[in-house]
Amino acid sequence: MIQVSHYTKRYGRHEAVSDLSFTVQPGGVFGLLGSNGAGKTTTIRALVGLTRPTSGTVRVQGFDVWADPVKAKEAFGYIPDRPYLYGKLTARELLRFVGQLYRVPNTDSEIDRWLELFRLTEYGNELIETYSHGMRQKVAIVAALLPDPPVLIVDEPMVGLDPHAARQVRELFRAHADRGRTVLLTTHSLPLAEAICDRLVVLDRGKVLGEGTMDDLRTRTGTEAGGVHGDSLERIFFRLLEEELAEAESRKAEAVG
Amino acid sequence: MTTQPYVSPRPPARAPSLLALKATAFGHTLRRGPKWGYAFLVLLAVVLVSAEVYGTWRSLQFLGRFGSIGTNVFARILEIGLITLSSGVTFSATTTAISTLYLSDDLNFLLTQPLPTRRVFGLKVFETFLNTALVPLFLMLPLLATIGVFFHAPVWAYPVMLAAAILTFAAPVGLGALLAVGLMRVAPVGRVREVSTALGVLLSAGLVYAIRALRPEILVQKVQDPAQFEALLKNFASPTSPLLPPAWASQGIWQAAQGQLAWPLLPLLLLAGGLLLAATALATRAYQEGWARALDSSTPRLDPRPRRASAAERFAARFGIGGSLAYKDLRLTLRDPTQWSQLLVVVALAGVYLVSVKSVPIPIPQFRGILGYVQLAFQGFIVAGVAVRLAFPALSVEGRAYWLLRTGPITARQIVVSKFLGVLPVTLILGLVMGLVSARSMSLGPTLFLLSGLVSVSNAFVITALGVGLGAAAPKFDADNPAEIGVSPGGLAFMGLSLAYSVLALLLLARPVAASVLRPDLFPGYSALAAPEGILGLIGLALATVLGTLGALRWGWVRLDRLE
Repeated sequence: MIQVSHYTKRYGRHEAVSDLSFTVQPGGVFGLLGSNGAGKTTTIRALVGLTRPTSGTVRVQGFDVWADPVKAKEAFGYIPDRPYLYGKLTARELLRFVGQLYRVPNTDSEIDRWLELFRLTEYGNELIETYSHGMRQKVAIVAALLPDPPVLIVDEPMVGLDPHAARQVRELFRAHADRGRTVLLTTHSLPLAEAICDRLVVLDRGKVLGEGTMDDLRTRTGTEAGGVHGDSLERIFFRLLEEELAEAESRKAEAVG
Repeated sequence: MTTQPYVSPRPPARAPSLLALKATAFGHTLRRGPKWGYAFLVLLAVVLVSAEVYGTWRSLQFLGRFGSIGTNVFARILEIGLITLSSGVTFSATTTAISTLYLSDDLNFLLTQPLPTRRVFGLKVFETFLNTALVPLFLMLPLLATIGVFFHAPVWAYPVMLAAAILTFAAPVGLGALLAVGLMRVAPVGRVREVSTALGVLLSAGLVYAIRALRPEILVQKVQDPAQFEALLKNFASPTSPLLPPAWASQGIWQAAQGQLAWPLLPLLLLAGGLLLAATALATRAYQEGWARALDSSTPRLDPRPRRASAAERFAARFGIGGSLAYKDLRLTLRDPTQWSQLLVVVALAGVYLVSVKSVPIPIPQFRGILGYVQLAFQGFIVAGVAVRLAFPALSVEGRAYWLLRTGPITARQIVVSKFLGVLPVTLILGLVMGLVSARSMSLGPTLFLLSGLVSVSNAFVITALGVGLGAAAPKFDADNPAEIGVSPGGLAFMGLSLAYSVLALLLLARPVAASVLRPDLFPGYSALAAPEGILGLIGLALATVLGTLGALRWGWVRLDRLE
């Protein structure tokens, strides 16, 4: 489970995320949506211990990430948007190191299984510096899933993946959640979010524009009639942005008046 | 559909300056850096410069009493100093040139822009100069200014002296760049970086060994003999190594200070300019190709059979997360030529130092004892020189992969301690070997022999902890290449603190040492250590070691934990 409570992050006078609260229950895939600079990655970075909240708390499996970091970090796996890995290690060596870090039982057989799944078995003994971006992304995904964590936190997962791997990853996330685990992902790919997310939060410039299931959001924005199948989330997303813009303008007009 | 023919954009009236781009980035880094760090660095610089100016002035005053012969002695000391510093630059120039010219991250951007290759090459050679020669050049500047003021040099002499100093260090950098381009061009594909770095280290070591063959200790020996001293002073009127470029620079500087423009500056200018031009000419043909070869250097050999953990990896893993982390670091070090070449530098430095110590003949036992003890401070400086390459960058070399540790179930304390324990064996063995072998070769008594060992251990612990701690407090994960990491405000502060600690460790035990050396009749064997001052000194050293080590490490992990 993930609990974000009144999370605010400021960089000097700039407020990147403002009073954000949401809970992700086990068994679901939760999507953080938003344009560039919406605050998705800032939120994710707070959840995985890379950015300290200015105020509020972030908890994973009941552990405050900043007060009880080791227990919290044992509970999640993290897939970053850019897969920087140790180029001078082979994939097997890196994954064994991760296995030792998280005390994964039967590491070798698990690594074999994951490499096979992502068609990386032949490359397993090669240095990661020889890998393409997509192959590195696959290794980063395996590193996050190897400990079979109760919570999976993913930042823009599909960057650099080929269509086959992208479909595999979507199915993996879904399967992970279906086994009673928690998956939180950020994306600005609306089709991806629509395909696998049970609940969504739409962010814009650090503020929540809308939250709920797809049906909740459709009801709220009056887009139940939908549009073309598959782009309805896109309609919701832009409707929310328009609402926010209209509200901001009316606030400005009131202030001037 | 109609297609428009491609029209090449008109080139800008003035090509953008790469140096200005770098200077802008450097300005941003400075503005965002820790202000306390800069304040400390300025303080350290003021102390060092003041001491250097004062020491130079007093030496010139003292030697000036002997007339021109005396001041000529200073000219030769200047020459030896320039030879020593330029040999240090020569030592690291080739390996630094390889990492700066070929392994910098920004090359992916620069070499794919519509820029002439020679401009990118020029920028990288300039960066190599900064990475290898900036510190020795800064060391020289107060000295040159003091000499100029002492001799009432004309105004034009100051830029000439500065140019001579720059050319002295530019020559080995030009040579390093030339060798780097050549090596990267001819090394076998698949092992370009490894082979080039290994050859670079060997060539540099060979050059330094050739310079060492000049045996400046012979001069020290003659200075100690009053009968030979006068003859030596007369001999000193002529350069000791007339064929070495630093000797030309020395003559140029000295004569400029006297208001004369010396002809040896011309060959120095021609040499440095020639080397840089030759490197640029070669680079215009081979630089981009060599860079591409370096990128292609790892050829995959696909093999589906899984390679399991070695016995060493399994053994390290028994020590928990820290053991696994230390083994991972060892593996990365041994596979990365920019890192393992530092280990070769360690061995070479220790070798040169021990050869030098063994070659210094000191007939008077008391003087030998005191010198044998004081030289431990120099050893501390050598250990610091090693630690600034191994301990200080220990965290920074995690690079952008640090997220893996930061988001993993491992504390900042475990990371810092593991890094410390990973580097400590190298610095400890180096310190102990230098301390004990030099003590043995100088035939020091039992007390001094024991204290040499203890001070070496203390230096190794505290200096390594300072390196890892300061490096963890201000890591540089986005360095374009590893050679940059030590040349930073934090790295310079680390060198200053390490030197200060080496001196402190000596001062703590100075009294029992003095008693043991000057009054061996009253303090035979280890008895000086059993006296109250000896016991207090040992307790002081133990406390300084424990507090220095733990304090530095703790500071490192607390700051690392706060890092965002």
